[in-house]
Amino acid sequence: MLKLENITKKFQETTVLENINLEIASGEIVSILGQSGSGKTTLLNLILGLEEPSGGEIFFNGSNITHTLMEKRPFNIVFQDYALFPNLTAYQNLTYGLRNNKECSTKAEVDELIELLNLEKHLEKPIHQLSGGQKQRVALGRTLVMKPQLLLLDEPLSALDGVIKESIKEKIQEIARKLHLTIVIVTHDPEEALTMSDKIVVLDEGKIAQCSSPIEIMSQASCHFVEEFIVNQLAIKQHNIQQIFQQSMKRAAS
Amino acid sequence: MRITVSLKKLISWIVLAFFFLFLAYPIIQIILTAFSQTDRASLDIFNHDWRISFSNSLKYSLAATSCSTVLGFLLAYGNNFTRINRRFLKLNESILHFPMLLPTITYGFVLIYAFGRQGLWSKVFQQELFHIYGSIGILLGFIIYTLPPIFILINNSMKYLDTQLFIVSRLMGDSWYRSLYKTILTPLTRVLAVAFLQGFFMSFTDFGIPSAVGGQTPFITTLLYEGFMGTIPNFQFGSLVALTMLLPSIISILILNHLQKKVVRYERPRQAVIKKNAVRDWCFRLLFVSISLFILGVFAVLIIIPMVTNWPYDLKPTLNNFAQFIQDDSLVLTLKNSLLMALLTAGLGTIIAYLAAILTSRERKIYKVNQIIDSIATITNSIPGMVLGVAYLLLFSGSQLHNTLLVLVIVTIVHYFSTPYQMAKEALQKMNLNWENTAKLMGDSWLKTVWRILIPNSRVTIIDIFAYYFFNSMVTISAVIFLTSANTMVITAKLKELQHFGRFNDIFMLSLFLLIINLIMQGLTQLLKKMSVSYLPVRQAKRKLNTKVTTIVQRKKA
Repeated sequence: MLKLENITKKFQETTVLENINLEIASGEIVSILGQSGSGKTTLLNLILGLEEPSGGEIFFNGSNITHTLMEKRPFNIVFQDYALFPNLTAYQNLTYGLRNNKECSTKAEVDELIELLNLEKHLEKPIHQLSGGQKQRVALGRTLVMKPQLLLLDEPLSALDGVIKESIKEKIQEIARKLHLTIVIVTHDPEEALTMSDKIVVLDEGKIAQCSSPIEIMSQASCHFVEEFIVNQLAIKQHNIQQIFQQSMKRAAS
Repeated sequence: MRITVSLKKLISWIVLAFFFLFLAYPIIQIILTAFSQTDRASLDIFNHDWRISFSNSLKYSLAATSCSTVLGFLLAYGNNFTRINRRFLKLNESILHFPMLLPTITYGFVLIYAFGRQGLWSKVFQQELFHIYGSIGILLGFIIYTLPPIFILINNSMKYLDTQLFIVSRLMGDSWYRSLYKTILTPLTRVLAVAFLQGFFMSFTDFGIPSAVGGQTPFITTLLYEGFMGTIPNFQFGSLVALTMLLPSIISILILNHLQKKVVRYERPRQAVIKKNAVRDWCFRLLFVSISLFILGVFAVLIIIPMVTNWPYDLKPTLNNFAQFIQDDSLVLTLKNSLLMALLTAGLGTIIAYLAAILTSRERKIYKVNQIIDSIATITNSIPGMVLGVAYLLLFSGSQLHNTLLVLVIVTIVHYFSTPYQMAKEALQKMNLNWENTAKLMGDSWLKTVWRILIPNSRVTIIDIFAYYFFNSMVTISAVIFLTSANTMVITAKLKELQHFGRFNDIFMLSLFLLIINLIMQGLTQLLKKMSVSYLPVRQAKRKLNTKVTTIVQRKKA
């Protein structure tokens, strides 16, 4: 469905992305995972159409969209800071796109989406009265109203904490399944990528270090970087949490 | 996308063309006139008169600004570091801001009627307290003029000082004076310098006060006025004077810009508990009351003089002066012209400043154009209004713009462009940079996004900009004095004309009406701002409202 062929991006003399080849199938949730400066946001911008590649081509459903304008691509994005409009209510934000394209979604579809995102009680609230999770859901809803064929999520969980994070994770997966939506997530958090996606693209210094399923990554890390950045990091986390559980169980027993 | 980029480019070209035509070209015209011929006679006069006037302007501006800076610092200190009742401080602050709603030429007239031989206070005390014409009058006028903005600048910075450092310094064994120096004065050094230079620039380029109360003392601005509007006009001489006026202005503004970039900004105030000290608080109370009473005492004549039959000979209360004023068509026309000019300037000026700020703060693709617009803002800030007025006089005499209200509107927009532009830019830069892309993905055109998102989210700033242009258009005299005609006469220029005929009752009546209009506008803008911030988070809304007069009047120039 989405195909990136030999994509390269240079800013003056600096090569940010080099020879990126990637295929994303319809209905797949794919995470682009990498450290700061690895080129993941640039890759997201290239897919969205905010930037043009220095080399290579991008295809979507067989058509070459490398030079297609951002607003002409059937994609949409939820930015890291949500970019909600503070002068509008949650409902006005949600239905913003319908002012320009009334045929995008019917009233019934919008209502269904509101129900799916549990936003019924918050529709009339101004943006500043919403919690982080509610804001995230409004931003998500606003893009879904436009029925994109590919949804890009830029660090969707970075501003959320604990329980809300888990509920949003589930909500994104639920929506993807229900609407058969292709989702590309950009994240720096291995745990987030592993628990949300069907496929993970690990970026290291502008190159793809590994592109496979979460289980494959955990069982067959392709290089030292993937081993260090993902597997070892999670192993330490697992060890620490296990220790806390063991200690608390011992104390409870005694 | 192609269309939107073109639209942005088109707007940027319109903004650039506007400033080329109404800023660069007139200044070139002045330079050409100044060096058009080598007229020895002109140059001789220039040498002698210019030297005296220039040194007077320099001396008086420096002296008055020094006094204002010291007073401004003390008032700000009293406002922030004492336990004086907040309401008392607020009241005094409002009184201190009050002169900013009047033109500087009025300051001179009220000083004469307050302390002159036949003045209100000379009558009350049965003697002339001091000789108001010349040195003392000028100094007092300049101090009244520069104290409010200097106080606002210092007070705003002092509010955000981390005063806990003072406590830490004292706990470390520093003496009170050393703690004051290290934790209060040192972080404020740059702000004090900025305030001083701002005051100096304002006084040096002011025409109203020297022309009203200067007496026989020549100043650079009165010399410039004589060069163009005197009994024997000499344009080359006037142009040379105008050019020399640019020098200290440009130097002070360049230093000002440099210093402003380095001013330490604290995120939020961390106020330490202020110790009880009755002596300190009473001293500051006395200072506040003295200054407030002085200001009220001086400006009281604005109301008293028109309310008596014939000051100082017939003190019977009367409303005849009001009736006569309303029946005088020329005065009513002046009032209407001023109001129309202020509204047009505020409307058009806000559009130009806001559009220019959108280009420079939200559009990175036209980097060179953005740099030029930034430079224009700096240049307009450093060119005195009188120089601009003279340049327009030279350039547009005989053209269709000559003797129109439009030329007054344009010169005022250009003269005051810098502050509204910076206000809009600052507000727009703080907004989420992803809004445009998000709206574009939702099918918005660039114009739609500006209308639906950017403008509604910067309503408070837009109101501030409108008010800034409005107040300054109402009180400005510097540029318009050269450009008004019988049909386009505005209040400030009319005041100068009425002075010539000694019609002081009408001077005060006009000033009073001007004050009332400004007060109504101030009330309206506050109301609109309160309505506009209703959707903002409480803390953000409070912060926005607190900026109110600060930004509006901070940079009121000559």
